[in-house]
Amino acid sequence: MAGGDDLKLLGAWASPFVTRVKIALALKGLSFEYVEEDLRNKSELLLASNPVQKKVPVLIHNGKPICESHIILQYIDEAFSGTGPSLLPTEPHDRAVARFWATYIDDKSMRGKTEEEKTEGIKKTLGAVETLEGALRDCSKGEGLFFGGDSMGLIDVSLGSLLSWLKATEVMSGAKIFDPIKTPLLAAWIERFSEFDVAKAALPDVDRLVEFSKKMKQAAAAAAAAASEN
Amino acid sequence: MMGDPAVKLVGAFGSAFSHRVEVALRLKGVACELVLEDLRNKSELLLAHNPVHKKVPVLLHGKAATCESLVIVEYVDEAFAGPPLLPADPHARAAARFWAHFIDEKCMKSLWAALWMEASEAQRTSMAEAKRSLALLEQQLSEKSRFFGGDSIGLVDIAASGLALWLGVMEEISGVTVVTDEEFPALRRWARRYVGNEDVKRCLPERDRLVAMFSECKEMFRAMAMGSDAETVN
Repeated sequence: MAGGDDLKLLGAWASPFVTRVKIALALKGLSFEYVEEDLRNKSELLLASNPVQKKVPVLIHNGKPICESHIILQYIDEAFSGTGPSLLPTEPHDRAVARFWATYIDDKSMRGKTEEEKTEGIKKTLGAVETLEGALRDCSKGEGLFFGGDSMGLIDVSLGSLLSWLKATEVMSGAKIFDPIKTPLLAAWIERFSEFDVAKAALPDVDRLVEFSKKMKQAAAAAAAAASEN
Repeated sequence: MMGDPAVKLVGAFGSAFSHRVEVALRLKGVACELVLEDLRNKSELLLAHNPVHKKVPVLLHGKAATCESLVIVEYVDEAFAGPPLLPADPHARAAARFWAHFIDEKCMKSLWAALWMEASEAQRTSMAEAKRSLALLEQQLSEKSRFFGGDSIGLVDIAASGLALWLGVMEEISGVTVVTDEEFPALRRWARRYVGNEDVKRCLPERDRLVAMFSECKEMFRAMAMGSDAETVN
């Protein structure tokens, strides 16, 4: 790592977007200070560093903040281009393809507060998974090893960072998101990704996420019930 | 230049997203063939090169097809020589990407809802959100710089181009005003500067034609806004 580089990551353990940045930093071999935020009681540093969105992750490099996980990943790649492997390919069209799929993954990843939103979200995700199987086949030239071709890249990190949440969703909903019969390359890719040290270190524990999700649901239900009373 | 692969832009008349790519190509001095789609009857060319979204714009450069307007703009910046559309410094590049993304995620969505939802609590909430987001964008324009990109047009200006022409058209058709000179003086000045730029002028659709075209869509826009849930304001 270049001398004098100070890297601080503001995050929350359950956030897949924070996981994404942790994996990217680990891939590049960059050391950083991690600050766990309590999102119900955000720190002054977080609010000052991301006044527009007030969200994690925020990467602070030598005092300057960078926000939004995809933007942080590209920043890391550019600011530390001499360090570790590249997250994005060198050729412009390959870079555009990586950015396209990274955007797609986030658009399709289920996010929803209500049961209805979550069910809709799961449907969207299942549809997207088949498309991603095709993307993996094309990007990996049929081998299915990495979206990044020969090595892990932006798309692998973008999708891989969602794995704990996707598995937690499978547990809670009973839906099988990555069916080895329908999407064999993806199913194999997931097994392989989950075994990497960078993934194991960064991805939150699935059981812990399931518990966390149940608590959030209970809190939301209680709030809704309270709001509808009198 | 002889021997360079041909550049073809698959777009649609009046599309603010197609405009983004057209203006990027023009700023870089790249000649391209423009193919205008009838979006009610999409061509094989479009469907073959954007099977995932089936949308315009799509840039064809030799064998490479690139989709998603802002992804294409970055591609154009990297694949062709010419004045840079993004700054050189990594932190400044991150900031440019942040605001470009902010425009699409925060400004455009709430603006759309504010313009087309029927007068209601949800519409007022969207209006407030739209104004909050635009106020943050307004702050990015300093007295000194002519554009978000500084002295020349860059990624954020290109991402914001819809605000320079299309927003006024939609305000006129919907009867809802969001951006006034009083509330957003810097944005309005920027918009006039943007549409007055020589390169931009060559790829802006005529305002009258836009008004005519989108007037016919008024009822559809209103129906679409009614169908979707109120913007979740955060």
